[in-house]
Amino acid sequence: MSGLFRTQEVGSLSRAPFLKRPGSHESAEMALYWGRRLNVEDHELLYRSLRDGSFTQDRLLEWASLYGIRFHEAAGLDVVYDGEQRRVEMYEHLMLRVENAVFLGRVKVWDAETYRKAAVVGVPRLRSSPYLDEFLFVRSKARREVKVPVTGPYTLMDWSYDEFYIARQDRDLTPLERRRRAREELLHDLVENVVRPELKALVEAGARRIQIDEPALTTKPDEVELYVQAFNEMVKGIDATFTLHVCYSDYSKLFPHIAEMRVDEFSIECANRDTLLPGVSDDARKGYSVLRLFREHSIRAKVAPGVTDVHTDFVEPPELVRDRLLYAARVLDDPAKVIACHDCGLRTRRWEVAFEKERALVKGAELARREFTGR
Amino acid sequence: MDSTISTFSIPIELEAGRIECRCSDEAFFTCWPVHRRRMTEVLVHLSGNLPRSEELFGVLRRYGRGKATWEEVRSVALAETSRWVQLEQELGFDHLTDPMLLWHDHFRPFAESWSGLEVDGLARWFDNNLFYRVPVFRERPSSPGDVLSEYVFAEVLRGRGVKLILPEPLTMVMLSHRIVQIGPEELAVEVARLLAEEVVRFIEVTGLSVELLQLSAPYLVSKRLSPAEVDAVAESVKVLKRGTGLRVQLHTFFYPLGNATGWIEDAGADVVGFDATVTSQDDVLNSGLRGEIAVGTVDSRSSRVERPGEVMELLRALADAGFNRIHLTTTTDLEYVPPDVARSKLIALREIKATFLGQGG
Repeated sequence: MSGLFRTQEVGSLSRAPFLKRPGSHESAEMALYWGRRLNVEDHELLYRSLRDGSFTQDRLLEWASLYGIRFHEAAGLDVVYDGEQRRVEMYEHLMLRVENAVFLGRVKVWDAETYRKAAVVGVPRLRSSPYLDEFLFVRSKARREVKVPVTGPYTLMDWSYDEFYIARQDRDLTPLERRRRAREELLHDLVENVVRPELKALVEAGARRIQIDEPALTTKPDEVELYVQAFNEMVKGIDATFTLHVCYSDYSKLFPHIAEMRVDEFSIECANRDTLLPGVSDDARKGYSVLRLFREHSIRAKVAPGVTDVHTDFVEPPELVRDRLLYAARVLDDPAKVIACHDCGLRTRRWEVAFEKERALVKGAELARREFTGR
Repeated sequence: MDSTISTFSIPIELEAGRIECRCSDEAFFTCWPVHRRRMTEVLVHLSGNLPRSEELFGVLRRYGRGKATWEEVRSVALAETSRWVQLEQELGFDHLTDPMLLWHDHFRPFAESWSGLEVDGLARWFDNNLFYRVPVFRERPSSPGDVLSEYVFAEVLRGRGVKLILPEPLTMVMLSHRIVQIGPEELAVEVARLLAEEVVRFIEVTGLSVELLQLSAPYLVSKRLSPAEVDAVAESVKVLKRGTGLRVQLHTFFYPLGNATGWIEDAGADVVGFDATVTSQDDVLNSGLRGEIAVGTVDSRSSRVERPGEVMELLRALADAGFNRIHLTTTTDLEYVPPDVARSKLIALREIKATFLGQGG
């Protein structure tokens, strides 16, 4: 750990380059190139299996996981994971393992982008662990501290159809009240029967840092208070450091309720809405204005404002990363409350770009640290 | 409307809107509510788009990467449009609607085609896991020509009256960025003028028989509007009605109609639509609306297919309250559900109409 401005990943990386057309010459060359660049142990074995066709899909995913871990470590992050290399998509990966969740097909998210959406047709219960094997593998290989990303119950609820809870509500209630109660019950059951059991299993297996991903959290602002209660029940008695990641949202909707949340860190997206101007003026750092709300509401948790934008190939100069971190430290009035990370997972970027961005993140954090420690 | 129907054991003849009841005078008062429901005209049509198939999503993604041509995209979209419209016809829908498969969002055809507008980054579409690209009004907008013909497959919309679906002008303006120095209310009326011109050109070019113009208006019920906004909505409706000569359906969704109580009945629309999945019966009955109404009975955002019995109480209450023309429709776009579910929902609409007309009491 480097003291101030700890650096950490947020979650996903795009698929390891050798997973594209495995068995092709290009795939083998990618395994070799990145194996050398990231210093992946025994990567020649992967190279040979891709050349002679002896690979299996399971082994490839294991290699991808190892490359993901080394990717973050080679970039110099303090806290790492495997870039979610074994997961198809954050929602689907978990819901595939939930009893009474039935996938109905793809629906649009924007333009031609889609996701597979499931309907909850009964009380949801975890059928098998979505993350445990993955975590045990990462823990066995990682040389740095590990943080496990877990899809949160609110997002599971909001991205699913409800065919069960709404149908059992009293018809005498108003439509809005029926919906409110149905969602409250569904959220409760997702917490109790799906996410909390998995959190317990991960912690029993040795997980110490867990990130709850809730990109949907501000979708229905009047439910934030409900979520805070659900979150607190979800983590009650579980001995781990919890990060809540919320991205591309109107963060003002989280206040004042999140002041009551039993969470250690908030991870939010800011770089995407910031300017590229250097310096620590309010105008230059307008993407970080939301941090004032954290201070005004006396939020005890640390904050990880994204200092690199995952939706552009532009690689932030370390000096820009530094300025963003220094500005955050000033607004929060405490550099110890600031963590350096990306806006979100880097899965939208090629590995080449993602690696450069992550190196810039680490270098920028070093520069910011020097402002306080002189080193 | 059925010309001959029967309730209980008493036959009733309906001719040219005239009802002749053979009940005794005493019985008449008992069965009058039934008669009134019988006098209610019920129309079925959609109030939004239909979902794309995985094949269409695939070719659109390939087009985005430069690996498919626009002609290939249009070809797949046309084939799907034909299938959807054929289903609408088979189900006896009273107005045909284009499934809008080429529209990435409500505003995109205009935001990308009109001068003075650009498209910006993604923003959440109300409280959904669905995003649209934010239009940016840089200058006073103008239209270069016939945008709708590019996005609506007119060639398959033949044989029955068509309903066109457009964004409600104030909704479009308020969900956009405005750099141009024009107030939002004035800009909304400007958008209404342009939309009216688009519709007129579209009808001229295609020769389609358009009977109803829907303005999709979620913003109008997302909160209480200011008096200036209310005036802008009414003015926009007036401009569109005068400019096109068409009847206008002001269609609200996602939020309760009660948020527009006190003004929406005077907005000048021929039909007001509401989302029955969030609006209470009392809110509709107390809205001040009378005569004609569009009921979003089929929940576009839920995979659960509605059973007719679930909405009969509301429909009966509307008929009993004197609504003599009820449009049964979806709450909004059906792109929130996969194609198979959407198909079932279209069938459910027909079943709801049949049940309402058939069961009588």
